[in-house]
Parts: sequence; C-alpha cells; structure tokens
Amino acid sequence: MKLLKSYCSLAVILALLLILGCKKETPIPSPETGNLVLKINYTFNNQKLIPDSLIFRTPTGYLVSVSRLEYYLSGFKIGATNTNNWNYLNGLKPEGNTLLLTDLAPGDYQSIQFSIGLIPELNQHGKISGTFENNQMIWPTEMGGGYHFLKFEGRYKKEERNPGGYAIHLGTDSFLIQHQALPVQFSIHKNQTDTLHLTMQVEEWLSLPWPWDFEKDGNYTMGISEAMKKVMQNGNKVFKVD
Amino acid sequence: METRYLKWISFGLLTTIVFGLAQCKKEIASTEKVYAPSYYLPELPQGYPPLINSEKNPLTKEGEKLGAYLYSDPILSSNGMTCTSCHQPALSWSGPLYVNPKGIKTSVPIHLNLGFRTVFNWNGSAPDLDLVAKGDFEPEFFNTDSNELKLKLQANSLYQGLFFEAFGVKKVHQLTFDSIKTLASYALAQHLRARIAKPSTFDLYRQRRGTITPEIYRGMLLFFSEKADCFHCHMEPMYCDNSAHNNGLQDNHEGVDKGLELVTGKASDRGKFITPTLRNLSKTGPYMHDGRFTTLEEVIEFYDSGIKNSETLDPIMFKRHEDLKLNLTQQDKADLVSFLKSLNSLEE
Ligand code: HEC
Ligand code: HEC
Repeated sequence: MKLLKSYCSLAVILALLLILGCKKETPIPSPETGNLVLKINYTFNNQKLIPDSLIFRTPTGYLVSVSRLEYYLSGFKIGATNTNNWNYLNGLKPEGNTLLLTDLAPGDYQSIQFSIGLIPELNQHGKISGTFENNQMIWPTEMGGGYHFLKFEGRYKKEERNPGGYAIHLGTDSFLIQHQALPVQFSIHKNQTDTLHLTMQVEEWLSLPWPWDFEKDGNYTMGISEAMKKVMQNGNKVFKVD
Repeated sequence: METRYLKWISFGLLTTIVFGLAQCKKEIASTEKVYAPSYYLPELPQGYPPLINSEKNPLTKEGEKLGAYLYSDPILSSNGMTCTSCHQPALSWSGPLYVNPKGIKTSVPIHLNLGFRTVFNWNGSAPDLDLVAKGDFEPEFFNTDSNELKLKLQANSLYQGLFFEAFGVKKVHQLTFDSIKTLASYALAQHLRARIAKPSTFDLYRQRRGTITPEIYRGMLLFFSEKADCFHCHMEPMYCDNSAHNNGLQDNHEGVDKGLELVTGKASDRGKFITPTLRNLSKTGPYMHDGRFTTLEEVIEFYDSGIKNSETLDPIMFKRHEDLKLNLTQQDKADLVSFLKSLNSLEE
C-alpha cells in the first residue's frame, strides 16, 4: 500500500513536471494588442425589443412583432485601422448579443465603423466556419450564393385586417450595408479587453429614407433587388452608441 | 477556459494515477481488466457542421458499441419491446404511425444525424439527447420492471463486460434503477450520435461526384429559391434548423397540436413544431407530427395551397402572396417530389 502511494504521488509529480516543463518550451508571447467587446442592445421606438410581441408601431402606422433578427457584422474599422473580425449575431437570444474584436492596436480612438453582412472576401460558401448557425444563414447558390446578411422577420397588422407576415432578408455582395461611422471616444489598452455598448434601433429598418409600407413595398425581399436596395439604405444608421 | 484547463490537467493526472494503479495492481493480479475507453469522433461528410459531442457523455468506441447492442435488444424492456420495434432499421429507423393508449397519433421520427441537433421530439420537449431514452422505460413503452432488469443484467456476462468497458462500472446490476437507466440512455445516445446519414444522390451532385436528372434539377431550383422557399427551414445539409415553426397545418390548435406551447407555456409558441429533416423521406412516412399526410404529393399540395393562417404562422409562409399560395404548376409539384426523393441515402 505504502509502495503504491509513493508510486502514485511520484507519478503525479512527474506529470506536473512534464506539464510545467512543456509550458516553458513554448512561452506565450505577451500580446502587444488589446481587445474590444461590443455589447449590443435592441430597442424599438426606445422600448426594449421583446420577441414575438405584436406591439411595436412603425412610422407608417403598422403594428409589428419581431420573431427573428439574425445578421452578421464584419469589415470593422477602428479609427483608421481595418480589422479582420466578423461575427454572427442574434438579436433575440441573449448569447447572440456580444462580439469580440481582437488584436487591436492600443491607443485612443474616435470612431468605429463596420458593415452589416459579410464583406465579399467572407461572403462565399465555406469561407466562414461551417457551424449549424452559419449553415442556416446560407444564401443558396441558386440565388447568388454567399450568406444572408440579415434575416428580420415577424408579423404586421394594420387596422382590423388579419396580421400578415414579413421576411426582410438581405444578401449578395452588392447589398452589403456600409454602416455610417459611429463617433465615440474609447481606448484600447495593451493586454486588456475594453467594452463598448451599442444599440440597434430596430424601427430604423422600417423608417428613413424608405418608410416601409408592407402593402406597397412588400413583405418579402429576398432576391428582389428593388426591395433589398431600400433595406440597404434604411439599414446604414440602425446602430447608435449608448 | 480556466475550467477546461483544469479538466485536462485533472484528466491527465487521473490517467496517470489509473495507469500507476494499473501498474501496481499488475503485480498482484495481472488478469484484471482496465477501464480505458477510446474517445473518438466519427468522420463527417463534406459540408457538415461539427458534431455536438456531450461533455458529460463524450463519444467512445465502447459506449457506442454498448448503445448499438441495447438499441435492438429486448433486455431493457419487460414486454419484449426494443427501440427497433418503433424505430425500424429498414425504415431508416423511423416507423409506422405510433398511436398511444389515449389514441394520440405521433409519427415516429427518423434516427439519423441526431448528433447535430440541439432539441428533440416533435414539440421540442427534450433538450438533451443523452436523456431522451430514459423516457422509454415507462409503462407506455418498455414497462421495465427494475428488479427483473437487474437480474437480467446480473446473469449476462456480455453486458457486464460492455457496461464496464463503456463506463467503468464493474457490477452494473448493483447500481440504482435510475443510474442503470441513465447509463443505458447515455450509451444509446452515443450510438445515435455516431449514426451519420449515408450520401444521397443530391449529396453526390453537390460534391461533384454525381449527376441529377432534369426533374431533380428543376425541383432543386424551386426548393432553394423564393418560388417554393423550402430552404429557409430545411437548409442543407441537415434539412432542419433546430428550431420550431408553425408551418400552417391548421388555424386552431388544441391538445398536442399546440406543439411547443405545451413545453414553454407561451401563447406565441402555439402550433410550432421542430423542423424535421428531409433525408430518407421515402421511408419515413407518414408525415408531420401526427402523420396526417401519407404521401409526399400530399405534403407538396399542402405547402402549395393548404397553408392556414393563425397568429403564430411563420412569417416565411407568407412569401409574397396575400393568399398564402405558392401557385405551383403540376410540373413544379412533380419536380419538387423528385428533388425530395433525391435526398434519400443510396445505401443504409
Ligand atoms: C413504442 C414506440 C417507440 C419505441 C419503443 C421507442 N421510440 Fe423513440 N420515439 C417514438 C416516438 C413516437 C417519438 C416521437 C415522440 C414525440 O415527438 O413526442 C420518438 C422519439 C424519439 C427520439 C427523438 C427523435 C427526434 O428526432 O426528436 C429519440 C432520440 C428516440 N425516440 C430514441 C429512442 C430509443 C433510444 C429507444 C429505445 C430505448 C426508443 N426511442 C424507443 C416511438 C418509440
Ligand atoms: C417555416 C419553416 C418551414 C418551411 C418554409 C417549410 N417547412 Fe417543411 N416543415 C416545417 C415544420 C415545422 C415541419 C413539421 C410540422 C409538424 O409536424 O407539425 C415540416 C415538415 C415537413 C415535411 C414532413 C417531414 C416528416 O418527416 O414528417 C416535409 C416533407 C416538408 N416539411 C417539406 C417542405 C417543403 C417541400 C417545403 C417548401 C415547399 C417546406 N417544407 C417548407 C417547417 C417548414
């Protein structure tokens, strides 16, 4: 028994030594960069966005609910520096509301800019990881390929008519949304992760320059260039800094 | 991150200790078997998302093997039933309509590619594949008597060995009934996770290893475009989306037809069901949660002109059409059926 005990503790020590020894040979370089977490809130007319609730009033007088709000952000520009980060986001799921920008040069910055959707280098099947979520966002080859930039869906209702359904989808390179630069003072610190809070004002998708009338502008945009162009133009100012 | 590290370290230490112990033991009794499961992941076809392995029940060759034995063995039941009584191998592990003692009809789901799913049962009532099979010991299914099961396991040296190799338990019959059910369910889940669909005609076409007929091609264009718009919920390569939708089967929902609402209690989930895969449809009828359609032609007819509006109807079902109709021609409908059949695996 005693022999066994000492044998085992020796094994433990050996294992520990081995682990520590290995570590020494491949030291992790101390990063010269910092990270930034973006936390995104979702509001509709300044109210917190509640999924599946037919309670939000659009500028054209419809009541709408939101049952899906999925999109990508990519093409980040921090100050004058481009970064390679991109992320899938889901406005209706708590785990889908933050994204991490890595390897940023330390310093003080005055603005952040990004695209809603995937920049052309990423917008091809297989260019981003084949997770279940990313696969669900595929824009079929038969319709031009790449990924959905945005899936924004729900129900709408005007007066006493039966509620209809809308599916505002955006995809293909020419409809990538260059979101306007957001002016904000923030700093990136070496070896640290700083946080910035943004809000998506969901009603903006249906506001200016194209106040959306489901009965005239349609309730379905996928593959309809004219409709997708309007969505693209409405979408370039949906975010603000908190 | 931190905990993962710790896990690995402790795993390493444990292995060392087990190894050390085994070495020490060898001097005393060299015939004793060592618990050393082989962790593995099955090879996946091109374009598949990563398999969702279970942290508490990671896939091992031995666990999968035990699951494969249990799946078709009446040892777990007290009425001679096996998983394969309902999930029949010749029907892609689905089966004829199941009617419970209360007369409620449920279509038996296919057991294929379950390792990519995050939610189970038609209405989404089961979030954990590892535990789904625990429900099968109930009177409605296996009606398992705990003492009878323990005696059967005690007398069975094959299963004694398989349980040891899979989970390191020496005398499985000495565990509590609940623990036995859990381990059996774990092994069955491993077996199901490892069961990956064999390639279909359409898979081979996508991988540029095969061709499709003009009918299938036209059906594909309908399926993957706004015309029929099936892909938003049934996206390849899984043809399902791990989420629940009301696809418009009816406009009022009573009893089991309430679907996900029975699980979440939310009226906004009324009539929603988890999107099923469309692989091997030729073998998995009848279709929909209650098996209301017997043929794929009926299914297509429903999507073309049978959609019923209700407060929770999925927005995608409205397409561009006020009247909820797809306006497919007879040719379109036949082409869609041809496309669906091209998703059948070429071998089991
Ligand atoms: C009496 C028939 C019957 C037997 C026996 C049976 N099942 Fe099932 N199984 C069903 C039915 C019906 C459903 C669908 C239940 C629902 O959705 O409410 C189902 C659902 C499942 C699911 C969820 C599949 C999905 O796609 O969501 C799994 C996993 C499963 N069964 C595993 C098993 C295993 C493992 C066994 C053997 C231990 C077994 N079943 C035995 C009838 C059966
Ligand atoms: C809004 C999401 C959605 C869309 C779009 C959709 N489906 Fe479905 N599909 C479902 C759901 C959910 C079910 C299960 C419904 C139930 O059982 O109550 C289903 C069931 C099916 C089934 C039965 C499968 C089985 O195993 O029982 C077939 C076949 C099918 N769909 C084909 C299609 C085709 C073809 C299209 C395009 C015309 C389509 N679906 C469009 C969500 C969708």
